[in-house]
Amino acid sequence: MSRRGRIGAKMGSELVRSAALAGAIALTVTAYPSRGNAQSLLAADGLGLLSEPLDARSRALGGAGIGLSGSYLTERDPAASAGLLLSTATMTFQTGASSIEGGETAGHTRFPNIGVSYPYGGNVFAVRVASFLDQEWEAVSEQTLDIGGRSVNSVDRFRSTGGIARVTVGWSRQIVQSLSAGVTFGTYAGTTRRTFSRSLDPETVGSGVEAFTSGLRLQASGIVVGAGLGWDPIPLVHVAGAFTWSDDLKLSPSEGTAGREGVYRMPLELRGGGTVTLTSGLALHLGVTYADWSDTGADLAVGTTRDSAWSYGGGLEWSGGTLLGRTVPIRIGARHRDLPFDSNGDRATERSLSGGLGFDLVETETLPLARLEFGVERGSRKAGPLTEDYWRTTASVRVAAG
Amino acid sequence: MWFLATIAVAVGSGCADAVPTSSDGGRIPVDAETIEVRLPFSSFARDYQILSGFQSPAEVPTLTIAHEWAGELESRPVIRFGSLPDVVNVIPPGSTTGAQPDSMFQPVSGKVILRLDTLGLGEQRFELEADAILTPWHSETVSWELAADTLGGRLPWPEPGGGPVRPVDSATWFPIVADSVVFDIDSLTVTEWADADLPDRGLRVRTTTPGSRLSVRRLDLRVMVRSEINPDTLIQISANPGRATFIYTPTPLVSDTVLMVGGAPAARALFRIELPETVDPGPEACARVSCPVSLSADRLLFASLALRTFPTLSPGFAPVDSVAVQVRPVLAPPRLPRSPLSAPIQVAGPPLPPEWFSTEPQTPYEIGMTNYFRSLIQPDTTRGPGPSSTLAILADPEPSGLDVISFFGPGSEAAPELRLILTVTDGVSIP
Repeated sequence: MSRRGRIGAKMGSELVRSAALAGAIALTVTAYPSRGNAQSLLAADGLGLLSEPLDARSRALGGAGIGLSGSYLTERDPAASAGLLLSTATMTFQTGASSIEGGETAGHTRFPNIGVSYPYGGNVFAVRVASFLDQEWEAVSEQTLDIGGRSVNSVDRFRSTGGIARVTVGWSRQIVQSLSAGVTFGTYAGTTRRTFSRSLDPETVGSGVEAFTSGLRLQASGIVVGAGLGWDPIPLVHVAGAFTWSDDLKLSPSEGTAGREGVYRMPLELRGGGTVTLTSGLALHLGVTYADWSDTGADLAVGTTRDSAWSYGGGLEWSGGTLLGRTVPIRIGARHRDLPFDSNGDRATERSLSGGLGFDLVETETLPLARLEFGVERGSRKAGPLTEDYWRTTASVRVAAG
Repeated sequence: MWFLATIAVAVGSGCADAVPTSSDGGRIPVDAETIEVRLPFSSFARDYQILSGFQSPAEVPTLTIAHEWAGELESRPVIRFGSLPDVVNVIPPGSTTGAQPDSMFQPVSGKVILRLDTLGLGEQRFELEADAILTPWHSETVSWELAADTLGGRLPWPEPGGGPVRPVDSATWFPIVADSVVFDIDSLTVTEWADADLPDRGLRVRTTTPGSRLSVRRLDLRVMVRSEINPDTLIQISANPGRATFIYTPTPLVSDTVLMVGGAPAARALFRIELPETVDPGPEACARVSCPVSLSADRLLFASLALRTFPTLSPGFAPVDSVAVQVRPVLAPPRLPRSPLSAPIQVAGPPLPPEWFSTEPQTPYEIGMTNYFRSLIQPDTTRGPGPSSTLAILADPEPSGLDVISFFGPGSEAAPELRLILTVTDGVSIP
């Protein structure tokens, strides 16, 4: 019996039970104690809050989603899927809550990373959906207007909902034993709805006063291309690098809504990362990203951007622990991120400490068939007087079958 | 399958979101200006007219009795009772088998019981008279001058006001003592009133107390009948419901410069809306927005017809209680005054107090009609044709009584206006 045949024989009901169990556990952990992704008022600035499509392992290690050991399926590291010998599906589920200083706590849920891969003839083909920009925010202003000589209380409300994702197809392959490569090609997708309303006090205006509403629905489009390499220069070291190039991001008014099209130049994003095995079972991971957002800032109607936005972080992964006979990696990490869009002219940054666990629910001698990862972050964002503290919980489920 | 189910559950569990909200108005990327525009009546209304004759006093739920009210109003209820029951059930003398139907009973006497509204009457006393009508009359078209006004002809009363009559009974009513008045009716009159074939049968009630105005809430005819089966037995029965109305004089005065609604028969004010495409909000607002301002449905937050009350021209018809008005589109304007009306479009507000039409004239009153004007400017074609642009202002309910309410009309010093509140923006911008 071939290797794939042996793997397939071991799967069966154990795999599907484990996958369901993994999903249920992931839901339970991420849904409690808070609901919602760490949303931010900083989503109001520029094109929104950059929402990185990181899985739970990358979150726990403070990484950039590139250069981790092993094979995995993310848009950030196109070459990392080259080692996936079986058809694989992965999904990351994220919840969290942000406490905005002087304001309320906001929460949300996200699926920042969903992917499916299929190996064929030594090549691995993949389809990925990755989050990119979060545009969920709201501003409410109470004021008194002078209307026809009367003072009228009014409430203005602006709400932005939706976001922008990247949908890509990819190819990856192990060029030689220690070198793999991958490319992705795709498009921006997603819809943003921006709605303004003004409500007047009927006590001072008169019965039957209606709210003024005006809205704009924008559809995202634009070509995205990425490529990356993964290299093991020595057996204990793995490094990877990748870039994402993007054509202009276009936000076009949907049919039936008025407004002009927005066209924004997107930066070339560079990423690098690596993992060094320090001792048996202990590895150090580091990752960094860079992008120059100055051109994007020039295209914005309102707001400014950084010229150079860096993101860097790292963490330790200890794989010596076991639970119920399964390997349970334990991770800790820390991370710093420059947010590209300024908030009222103030530079915005994000810092976090993180930790997490992994469970191989079903595994062969060499391959995990069902894996569950958790990552928990405690972080803060600062932009001038604006401060947000957040908890973010991330769960990733990966199942493979052949 | 399990994996997909897990995703589905996960998606479902993430539905309860809370969006981060800022109270910083400076983050709102929309520059909006809200302005008020007052359009004079001549700039939005055409074909103004007051039409009278809708409904009849017979439709009014209460009957009015008045004598020299406000120095002018005379009003007298005229009632045609229904027939008596065909049979009464009587136990024959010595019977042990129960009651038997008796259709040969004879009226012996009767009583007319009037239940009156005592509100606000205090310790006054009122002299009331009940009379039997001697002239054939038509309950739907009867008026002070005419006993009948039908297609078959007009029949005047020999004496205006329902006369001549045969006095039946009189009574003095003290509202502080009782809420009802009872008139005794003799057997001859009861027999006449119970005969449905007599066109001149009926009761007329009047008061002789000057300056009085009373409202009859309920009126009953109760008859004592003697059984033929058991002549020793008297039985009280009630007449079936009949037709009741009232006749009054004078007719309310009208004026071209007074917008008048109400009464019985009722008056309605009608006009056609013809909105301009642009409006000029005045120099102060034009300093904030580009003028003239295009009038569009999405900009319109509020629209109301702004009126000012006017003392009722005929004091006898000034409201004595709160009244309400409604505004309804005229479905077929070419068929006026017989056109049907659509459903009310105004936002229901509190009724108008009577003092606004007597001691407190020129009180502002607005009828909110925002959704109507939005539909008029931009009809929702998926729901069929847009609303009619011809409006009727009428009393609610119609007719509600003799009360006539008046407002300053077109051409007067405080003519109606259309008050519009608009919000003007350049739209929601892209990031």
